[in-house]
Amino acid sequence: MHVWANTNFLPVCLLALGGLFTTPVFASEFSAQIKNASLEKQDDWYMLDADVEYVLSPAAKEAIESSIPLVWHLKIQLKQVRYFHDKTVINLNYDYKIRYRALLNNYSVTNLNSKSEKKYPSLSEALDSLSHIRELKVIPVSALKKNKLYEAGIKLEFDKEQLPAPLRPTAYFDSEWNLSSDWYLWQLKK
Amino acid sequence: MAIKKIKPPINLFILLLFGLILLSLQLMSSATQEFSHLNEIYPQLLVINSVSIVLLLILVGFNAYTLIRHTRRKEAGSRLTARMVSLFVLLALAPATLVFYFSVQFLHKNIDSWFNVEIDRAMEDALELSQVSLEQRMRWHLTQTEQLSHSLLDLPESQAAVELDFIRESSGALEMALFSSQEHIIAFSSINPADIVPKQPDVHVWMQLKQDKNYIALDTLPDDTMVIRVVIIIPEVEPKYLQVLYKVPIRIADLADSIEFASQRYKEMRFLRNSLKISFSLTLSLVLLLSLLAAIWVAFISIRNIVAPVKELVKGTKAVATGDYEQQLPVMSQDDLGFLVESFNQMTQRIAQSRDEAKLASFEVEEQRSYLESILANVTAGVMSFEADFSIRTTNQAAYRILNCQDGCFVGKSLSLLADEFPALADLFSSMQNLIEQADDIWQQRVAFLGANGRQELLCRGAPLFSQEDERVGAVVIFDDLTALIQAQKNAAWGEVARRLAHEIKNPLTPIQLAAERLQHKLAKELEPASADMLQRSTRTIVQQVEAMKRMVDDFAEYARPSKKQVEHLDLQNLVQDLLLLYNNSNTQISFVSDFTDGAGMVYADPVSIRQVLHNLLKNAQEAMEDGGLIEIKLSQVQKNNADYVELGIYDHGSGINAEQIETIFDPYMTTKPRGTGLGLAIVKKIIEEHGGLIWIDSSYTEGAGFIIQLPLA
Repeated sequence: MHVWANTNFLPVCLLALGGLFTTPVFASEFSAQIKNASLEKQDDWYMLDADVEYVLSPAAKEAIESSIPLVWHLKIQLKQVRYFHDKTVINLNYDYKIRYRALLNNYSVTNLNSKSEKKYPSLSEALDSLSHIRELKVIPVSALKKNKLYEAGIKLEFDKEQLPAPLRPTAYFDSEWNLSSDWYLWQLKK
Repeated sequence: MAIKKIKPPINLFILLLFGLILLSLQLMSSATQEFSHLNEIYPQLLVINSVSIVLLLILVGFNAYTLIRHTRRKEAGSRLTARMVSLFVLLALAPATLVFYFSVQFLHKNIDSWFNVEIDRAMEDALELSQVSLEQRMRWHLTQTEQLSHSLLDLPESQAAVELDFIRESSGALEMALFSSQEHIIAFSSINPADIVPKQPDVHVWMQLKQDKNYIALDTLPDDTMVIRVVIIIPEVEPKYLQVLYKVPIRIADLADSIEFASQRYKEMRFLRNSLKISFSLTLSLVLLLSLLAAIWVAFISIRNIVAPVKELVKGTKAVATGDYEQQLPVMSQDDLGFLVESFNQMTQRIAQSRDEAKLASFEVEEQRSYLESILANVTAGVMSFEADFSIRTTNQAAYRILNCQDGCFVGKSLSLLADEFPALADLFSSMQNLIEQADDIWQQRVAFLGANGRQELLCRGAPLFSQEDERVGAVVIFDDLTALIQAQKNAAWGEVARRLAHEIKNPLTPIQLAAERLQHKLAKELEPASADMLQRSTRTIVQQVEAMKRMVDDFAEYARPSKKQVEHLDLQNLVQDLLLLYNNSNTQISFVSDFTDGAGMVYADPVSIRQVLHNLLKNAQEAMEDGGLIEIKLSQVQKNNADYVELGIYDHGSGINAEQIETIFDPYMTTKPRGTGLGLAIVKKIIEEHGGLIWIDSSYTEGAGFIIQLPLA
C-alpha cells in the first residue's frame, strides 16, 4: 500500500536540486485521461467501472516497439471525509505491464497482481483492453458507514522507475514521459 | 617553544567523505548497467551525487568568497592562498577538462559503433528466420491437424473423447480439445492427466473461427513453454472446433527464445542509444564535477593549512615592523616552513634581546648624560662646548649666569654672531674665538671685559676636542668669574692696609700732635716773635696735617670695618626720599628727579651703611655739578639669574667719568677731586657688596656719570 505523498518522491527531490537539468512538466498532452469512473453497488461489493484513455507519446510508442516494457499502476483510494483529517479507508494498487513480443509479433498485457497475461495483435487493442475497467471489486459494502461522506479517487500512474536506468533521467523531465493521469475524484455516500 | 600537535593536511573526515563520494560514483556507474541490481537505486544515487555536488559547490563558493574578501582586505597570506588556489584550479581543470572532452567523444563514438546497418539487418533476418522456421512447423501441424480431424468427422459425441485420446497420443500433441459451435467443450484430452480443462482459446481466436478461418499461432503457456496452438473447423452440419496444442521442440524453442531475446535487447539498446549517451555523459560529468569540486575544496583546506604558518609569519613580521618584538609564532609543522617559523621566533627573541640591551645602554648613557649635565649645571664654572665650526653646542647654566644672559640663547650660534648680538660681551667672545681657533692644546687665559654689570674678569681654560681619528671635532671652554675673587682680594689687601694704617700711623699721630702743641706752648713765649710766628705756623701745619692724617686713618678704619652691622627690612624708597629732602633744602641750584616704581624698594640692609652709600653718591654727583643741574634717581625691580633685585640708578649731568677711570673708579685712593681721600666710592662698593649687591658704572649713559646699584629684594 502506498501513501499519496510518497508517490512523487524522486521528481520532487530532483526538482529541489534547483533545475539542474530542465524544467519538469507534470501534466502534458500525453497524460492518460480518466473519462469517467464510478463505484457501483453489486451484491455485497462496491465495483469500479471506469473508462480511461491512453495517449502514448511517440517516445513511449517507440520504446514499446523497441521491446521496452511499460508499467502502469491503477491506484484506487477511498477516504472518509472528516472535518480535520480525512481517514483513508482503502488504498488499492493494480499494476499492468505492456510489452511487445518480437517473435510472436504481439503485445502482451500482464496483470502483475494476478500474473495473468493476455496477448493482443496490436498495441491499440492491448491499450483498449486496459481502457475499460469493468466490475473491479473495490470494497465490501459493509466496510462503509451509513450517511457518511466518502471521497473516491482513481489515478493511472505511469511507473518511470521501471524504465531502463539510462532512460530514467530523461524521463523525469521530458513531457513525453508524463503519461500518468491526474487524480479523478468523486464523492460517495452509502 | 610551542610545538603544537602536527596535523596531516587532510583529516579523517575528508578521507571518509572522499570514500563516500567514490562509492556513490562507483555505484552510479554500475547502476547504468542494465542487469545490475543497483539499477533500481540509480535515481537515488543521481540525487545523492547531485546533492553532493551542490554541497561541494556551496563549500567551494563559500571558501572562494571568503578568500576574495580576505584578499580585498589585504589580509596576511590571502594573496598567496589565492595564487596557489588559482594555480591548482588551473592545473586540475585543464587536464580534467581535456580528459572529459575526449572521454565523452570516445563514449559517443563507441556507443554509435555498437549499431550499424549490417547488425540491424542481421538481427532482423535472424528473427525472421526463426519466425519462418516456426511458421513452417505451424503449417505442418495445421496439415497434420486437418488430417487428424477426418477421424472425428461425424463421430458421435460419446465416442469423441476416446477417439481424441487416441489421435492425441498418435500425433504427439500436448492437448486436444473439441468444442461445439457454442464454444462448449465436447471432449478433452491432455498429456497431463491432472489437467481437467483445456487452455481455452480467447476472443480473438473465436472471432477468426467465426469467419470460417482456421487459427494457427505460436503461444506460450503460463510456464513459458512455447506451444503451437491450432484450431480448425470440423465442417459438419453443426460445425465443431478442434484445438490442438503442439509442443515446439526444446531446441527450436530455445533457439527462438535466444534470437528473440537478442533481438529485443538490440532494439532496446538502439532505442536507448541517446539516453545511454546522456546517461554516461551525465555520470562522467558528475564524476568530473565531484572530483574537481572535492579536489578544489581539499585544495582550499590544504593550501590554507600550508599557508597558515606563512600567514602567521606575515602577521609576525608586521608586528615586528611596528616594533612588537614579543611575537612568538606557533610551530605547526616540522618542514621548511616550521624551520622558518622557528628561525623567525629566534630572530624576534634576539631582536627583543638586542633592543632591551640597546635600551638599557641608551638609558645608561642618558643617565650618564643627565648626571654630567646636572654636574655641569651645578658647577659654578661656566662650560661651553663648540662644534667643529666653532658654533656653540652646549652651554651650562653657570655660563649664562656669569655672562648675565638668558638660558639657552647661545646654543647653535657662532661666537662672532653672539658678539654682534651681545655687544657687551663682544670682547670676550672675540678673544675666546681667537683662543679656541688657534689653540692646539690646553690653554689658559685671563680675559677681562666690560660687561653690562661693569668690569668682569674671567679665567678661561680651553681645550680642542679630537675624534678617535684625530680629527678636530670642536672645543670646550671652561671659565670662572674672577671678578668677585679679585675684588675680595683687593678689598682684603686694602682692609689690611687700613688696619695697619690705623694701628701703625694713628697711634703715633696723637703724640706728634701733642708734642707739636707742647713745643708751641713751651717755646712760644721764649722765642722771638718772628721765630714764634714760624713755630706757630709750623705747629699749626703739623697739627692740621696730623688732623688730616687722623681723618684719613679714620676713613681707612671706616673702610676696613664691616658695614653690615644691624640689618633690618628697609624701604629704599623712603630712605632716598628722606635724603633728597635734606639735599633739596641744602642746595637750591641742584634739582632732583625721582622715578620710583611703587613698592619696589624693600631690602634687607643696615640703614646707616646704605644711607652712607647714598650720601656718598649724591655728594659725588653734587660735587661734579658745581654749577648746578639735574640729578635723576630711578628705583625699580629687576629679575636676574632667577632672583629679584632692587635696582637704584643715580644719574648726574656733570663732567662724567673717563673710560680709563671706569675700571679703577671703585679702587681706594682713586679720586678725581682735589680734596678727598679717594675712599668714598671704594666704601660704597664695599658696603654694597657686603649686602650681596652690585654697583657699576652705567657705561651707556653719556651725559654725566651714572651709577647703578642692585640689592637683593627682601
